Amino acid sequence: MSVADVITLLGYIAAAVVVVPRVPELRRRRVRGRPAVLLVLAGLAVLAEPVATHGPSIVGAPFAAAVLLVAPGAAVTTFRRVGDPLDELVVAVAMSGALLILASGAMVAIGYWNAPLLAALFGTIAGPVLAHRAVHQLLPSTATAGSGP
Amino acid sequence: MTPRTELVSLRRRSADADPATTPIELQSSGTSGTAHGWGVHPAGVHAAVMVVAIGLWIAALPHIDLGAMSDYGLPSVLPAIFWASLVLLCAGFAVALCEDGLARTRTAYIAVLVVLTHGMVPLIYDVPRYAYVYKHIAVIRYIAEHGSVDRSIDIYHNWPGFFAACAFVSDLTGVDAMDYANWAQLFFGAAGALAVRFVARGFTSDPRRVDAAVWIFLLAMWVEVGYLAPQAIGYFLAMVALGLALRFLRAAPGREPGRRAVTWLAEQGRAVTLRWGLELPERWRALRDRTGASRVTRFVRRPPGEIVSPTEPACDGVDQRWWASWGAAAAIVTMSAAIAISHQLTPFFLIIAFVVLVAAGRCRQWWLPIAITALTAGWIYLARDYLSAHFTLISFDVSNNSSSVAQAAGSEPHQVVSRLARFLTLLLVALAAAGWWRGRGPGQTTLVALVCTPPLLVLFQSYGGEGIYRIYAFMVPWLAILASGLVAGLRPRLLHVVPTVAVSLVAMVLFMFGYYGLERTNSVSPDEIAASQWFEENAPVHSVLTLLSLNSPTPVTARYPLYRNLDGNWGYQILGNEPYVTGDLTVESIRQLADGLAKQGRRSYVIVGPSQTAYVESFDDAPRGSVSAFSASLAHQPGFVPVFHRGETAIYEVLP
Repeated sequence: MSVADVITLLGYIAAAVVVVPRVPELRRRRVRGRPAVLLVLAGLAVLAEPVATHGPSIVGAPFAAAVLLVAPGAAVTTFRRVGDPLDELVVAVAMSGALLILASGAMVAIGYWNAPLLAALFGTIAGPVLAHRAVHQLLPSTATAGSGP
Repeated sequence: MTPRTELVSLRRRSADADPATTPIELQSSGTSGTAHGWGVHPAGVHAAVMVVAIGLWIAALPHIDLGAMSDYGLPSVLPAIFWASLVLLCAGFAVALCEDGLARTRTAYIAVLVVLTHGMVPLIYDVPRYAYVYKHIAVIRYIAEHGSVDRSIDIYHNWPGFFAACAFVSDLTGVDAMDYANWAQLFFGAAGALAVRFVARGFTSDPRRVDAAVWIFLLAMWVEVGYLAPQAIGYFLAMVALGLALRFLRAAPGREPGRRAVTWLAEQGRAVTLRWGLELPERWRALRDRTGASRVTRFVRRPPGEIVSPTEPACDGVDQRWWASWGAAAAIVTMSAAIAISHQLTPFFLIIAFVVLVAAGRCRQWWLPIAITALTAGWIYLARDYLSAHFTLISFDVSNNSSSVAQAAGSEPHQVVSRLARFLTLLLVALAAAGWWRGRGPGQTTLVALVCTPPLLVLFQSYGGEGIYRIYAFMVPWLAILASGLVAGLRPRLLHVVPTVAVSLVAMVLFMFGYYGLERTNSVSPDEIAASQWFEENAPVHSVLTLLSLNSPTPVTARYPLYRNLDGNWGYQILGNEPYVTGDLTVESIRQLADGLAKQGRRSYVIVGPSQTAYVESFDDAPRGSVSAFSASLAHQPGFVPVFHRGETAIYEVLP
């Protein structure tokens, strides 16, 4: 098992820690709209690295590229509810692009190149954060203050 | 009712409405207009128009014969049904623009426009366009293979951010950059449209005006910024960063930096004059009273279609929570850092734009331009060794800086294409001026300043003759937003619809020629790529490739640093306006290069191919037909050993 796999596993656990305790409450609500999108994106984020590295490239490549271009940015732009879905998408893609550039540039600068590890890190951070945002939107009272919309 | 009186009544109605709900809630609805008399909903009609346009476009694609292309580029081989699809789309959007509501319909039109104008590239071309994209692919392959960069190799290794990100994607997914490079244009076309929409919504809450701005932007952007290149991501990130500032970092009413200074000065002057009982001239008294605090801090809702003032929310409510402001600022800094390590030129445009926003009071984080400047300067400092050896960082030769890399001369069709592109620029400026005149008000000052500041670049940088194009690219979004002021008050009447359709159609035709008019030189043959690959994989290390012109898809592999010339650059060219050029298309000029290289212990190769031929013929560097004849004659010259031949492409080893 590689370091990337271990980190991905941690991502699964973190996402489960966020979502599983809320499942009884979530089951009483209809999960749709924005929270549903965030929950799906969270699941895809933690799957991006294993699908890209272990899955067939015809599926894994576009899947991983699409997820990595949206999920990290969507996870960190919690400072403000943008409102419009297209605006939210463009900010998420821009932030993801910027983070990918900076992280890849950092790997190049320090001379440690490990693409699966970086993808796993992105997924492990983005997945639970997105899941937390989704749960927060569905069950506002259970979220911590200041965690954003 | 005339259009003007309609506009006035619209303003009055809006001004009378509750400022808490007008105009955002009333305007931002995506609901469609009313059904026509025969019971068909307008949105349904427009959907049918779009479906037909897409159908015609799909039907046209198999009939595009790239081999029959003339010097007029891609438009010369586009079938009539392709043009019909564009006409249908322009007409449909113009009608939708004149109707109330239909916000989602207009967004769909914009999406279809992006697909129709940019989506055909990966479908009709087997390999990426633009010869210079292949060097980017070579750098991406180098990073993916080595996991590092070498700053002494070239400038790309000194600004590696974008290439490193592409290498990451390639390494993770196993998909080579060559395979997705052709899709970059569609991706960045869509991303650019979304970014401009994001920015425009920081200036106005009128959805019609926002959609018009995006449409105008897409049709006016004949300069290519969307291929697989650092400038593409830099442009996109810069627009989103500016949008974040415009949307979420507005100054609170009365706290704009410029106005605060004026207020302070005015109040000090007022206090002094009152204290000492000075008698001021009438005009000075009026000025003093006008710049009083109550005037400065006023907060007025603008009617729909007008550009909001710095403190007015356009499409967003004001969020005063500290993390909303600092989060947006952090996102801007992150994007700016990514730009700074990816592209040399974009940070300067970003800095200038942020200075304008801060000065205009549209960005309350005054330190942002300073932070972006520090990031840029820091990265330039890290690259100082390479830059000082190979480039002139600052040049005050304005005439040289403002000159274009593409010569004014060229074949007749080439000159026509150039004139059409320039005419499109003039059309955009004229529309922007008319839009500004129609919607003139205090809110537009920022837009005018943003339009006027990018040309400042010509004062100190030419960017290899490309600066003038980048300046235009960074002016287009602001010009488009200004031009969108013309749509205020449009109604679904023949008098309004016909001119809107006409302008849209003219812009579309000009765009197609401006953007795709040089396709004969921009398109690349797979044989040329194979030839370049052969050279980098088979020629002895430190061999040098000589080209008729640099418009050839070389280098292309991660081994390219092993084949640089004596100047540390890639290849020698015989024709063209680059520094290492012989200027004469003769066998002797190639032999002289080979003799010089032999003295340095290097072997010399020469490559000939269709994209080089098209380039030198289009730009009149050699008489038409002479290059092909010259290339064919090389096979019979003594000392020229053919080592690769496929189609019209060949490589010869030149014996000294």
